[in-house]
Amino acid sequence: MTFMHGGGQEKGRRASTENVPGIVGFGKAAELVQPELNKEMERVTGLRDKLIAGILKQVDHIHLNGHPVKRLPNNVNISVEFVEGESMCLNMDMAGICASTGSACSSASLEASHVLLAMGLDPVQAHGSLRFTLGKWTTEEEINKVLEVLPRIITKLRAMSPLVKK
Amino acid sequence: MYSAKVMEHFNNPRNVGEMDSPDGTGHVGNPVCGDIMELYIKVKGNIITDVKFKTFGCGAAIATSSMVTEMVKGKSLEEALKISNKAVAEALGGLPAIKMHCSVLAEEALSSAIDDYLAKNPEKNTDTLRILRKTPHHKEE
Repeated sequence: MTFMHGGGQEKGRRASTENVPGIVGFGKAAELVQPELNKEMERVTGLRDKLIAGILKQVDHIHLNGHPVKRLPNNVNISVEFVEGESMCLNMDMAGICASTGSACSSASLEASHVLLAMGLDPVQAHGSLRFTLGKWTTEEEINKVLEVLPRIITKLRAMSPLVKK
Repeated sequence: MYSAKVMEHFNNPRNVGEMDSPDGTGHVGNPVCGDIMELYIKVKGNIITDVKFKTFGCGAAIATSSMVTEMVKGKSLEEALKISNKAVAEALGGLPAIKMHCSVLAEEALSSAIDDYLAKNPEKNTDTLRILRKTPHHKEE
């Protein structure tokens, strides 16, 4: 599906003169990553699984979006019941943690993530979603920090949620 | 994107909680939208003596809920019905355009609570209140 329109370059697949610096850079990046790729994937998968297991253990009414194993090595996407994504992200941002959300409140279109909705989540589950993306520089200390901070944030937001019925 | 005042109300929201036997309850928003506010008021005479809220929503939703409860506590029903969403947003030092609808929700939660109170106490409804209730003063921008 073409998203850059204009001239008919690349047999109509991508208009515009090729991005030569981008192509060279991507090639170099692929070359650099090759020797450590498997080891790094294993490392990041370990951190991902620690984060998923830790959150699911500490917080109730929480759901992992997507398959537990057949997912990207660095992707964690969860839905937290009774609270909204942007408010969780704001709290985490203040604690120095970067995450994103599929909540409508955080998108320019005010629509929930179409990906999550296509996966079968209902709007409320999409609004309460959180996505963490790990990477080359993610450390175990950072995972531990999220596991310490996130449950507290969720508790604080649930205390003011009208969806939590006593 | 949020002002210091919005962040302050977000971090330390005023009047969070439930109320034993509220005189009026307002419930606005819906899960599909991603914002739900519940507002509870206690009325003595025609003064709102106590107010509490619970909100499911973003930073602006929580901040506007908190601010509207602060603005309304101790005020008369007439004064409360004059509080517009613009006034709530201004009290918070302004909101991004895309978040102004949260201030509208806060205003609607308040008028919904007052409507509920008046429905339960029809003898308290006055012509002034009826006129104020009919006067639209909220706009998105």
